[in-house]
Amino acid sequence: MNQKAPYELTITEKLGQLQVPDMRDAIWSRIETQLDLDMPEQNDGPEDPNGPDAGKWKATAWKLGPIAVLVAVITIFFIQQKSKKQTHSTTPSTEQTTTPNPANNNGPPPGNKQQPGPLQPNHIPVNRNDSAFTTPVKPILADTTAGVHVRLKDPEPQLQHQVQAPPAVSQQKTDSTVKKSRGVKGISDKDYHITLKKDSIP
Amino acid sequence: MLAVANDIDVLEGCRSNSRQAQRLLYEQFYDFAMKIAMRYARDEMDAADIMSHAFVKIFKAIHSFDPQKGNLHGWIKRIVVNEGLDHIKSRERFSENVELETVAEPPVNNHALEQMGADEIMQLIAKLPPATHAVFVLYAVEGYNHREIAEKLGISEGTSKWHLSEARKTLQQQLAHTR
Repeated sequence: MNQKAPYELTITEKLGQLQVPDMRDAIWSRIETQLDLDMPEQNDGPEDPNGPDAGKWKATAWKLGPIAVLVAVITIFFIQQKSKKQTHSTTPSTEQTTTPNPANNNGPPPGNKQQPGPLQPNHIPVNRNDSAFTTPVKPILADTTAGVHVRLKDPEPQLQHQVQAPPAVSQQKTDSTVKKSRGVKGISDKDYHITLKKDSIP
Repeated sequence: MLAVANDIDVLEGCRSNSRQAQRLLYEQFYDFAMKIAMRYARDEMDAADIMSHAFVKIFKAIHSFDPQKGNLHGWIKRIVVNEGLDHIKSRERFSENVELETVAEPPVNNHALEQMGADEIMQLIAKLPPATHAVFVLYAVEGYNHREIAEKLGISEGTSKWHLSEARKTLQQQLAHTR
């Protein structure tokens, strides 16, 4: 606090005697309007204790909640379906496990999707004993030179659409010596070639 | 005029956002706050603006007031003063002017001031430039020192001193004219 000069003391005293204008109601109405916007009053009476807006929000939440859950479930379902399709398209040689083959008695059951080797866990493994494949599929990542070759002439009907991909890939491979980076690293086009052995044909 | 209610009940009511309690508190502190607001205003409309903004801030921040750490009058006064300063700043940006190490002490005719009414003195002060007005009121009326004024207004102490010197010169000139 600083020491005041005499004139400052006079000013302070005079300002203390200042007549305050009576604008109570006008100023309060402005205050109340702003408070109603920023901080709506909550009624504690027999009406909705949380105020009319709270009930509206509750009703909206009840309506939107199940819809939001449903949308989330559908979205997840579609994403899973899409990921499965992508897996089918990227690994066409590995989708034969779904095809039942009565001639296969020695190998794992069709439903068995287990495959030895360092394949990615999300790839559908090859059914070795399927008629379309006579040689066991070697680990693709480990050995790129020896692979299985698909004979386009005798594909299973269910496999036809799947087998169409490798020829295109093999043709591209033979046409160009320069590899383009696509698919899974470490896997070359040779890995998609599947040869049928005589013994495997029923 | 509404009866003055128990302060604690009113405070609790204000914290609960009760309009009735808020109106009671407003009525209770209207005169006190209005006198402060008028020091920073050019006219009654300015003072009404300061009051409305200040009380909205008071009611929004009432939950942060601790009666054990300070009194309600001082807390409300600080809010009204700050709102008054914001109001002045909105009219003119406070800039750094000439800095002074020592304040010039032009003589101000105290006798002339004593002859004047409060409204006239209020009008004299309101005619000061915004920054000078703010510094003068904070120093001469509210009792802040230059360091505190500099912190509040975001200026240097030297600038605060310069504005006080300018306020005194201007008041002296105007008092000389009114004689």
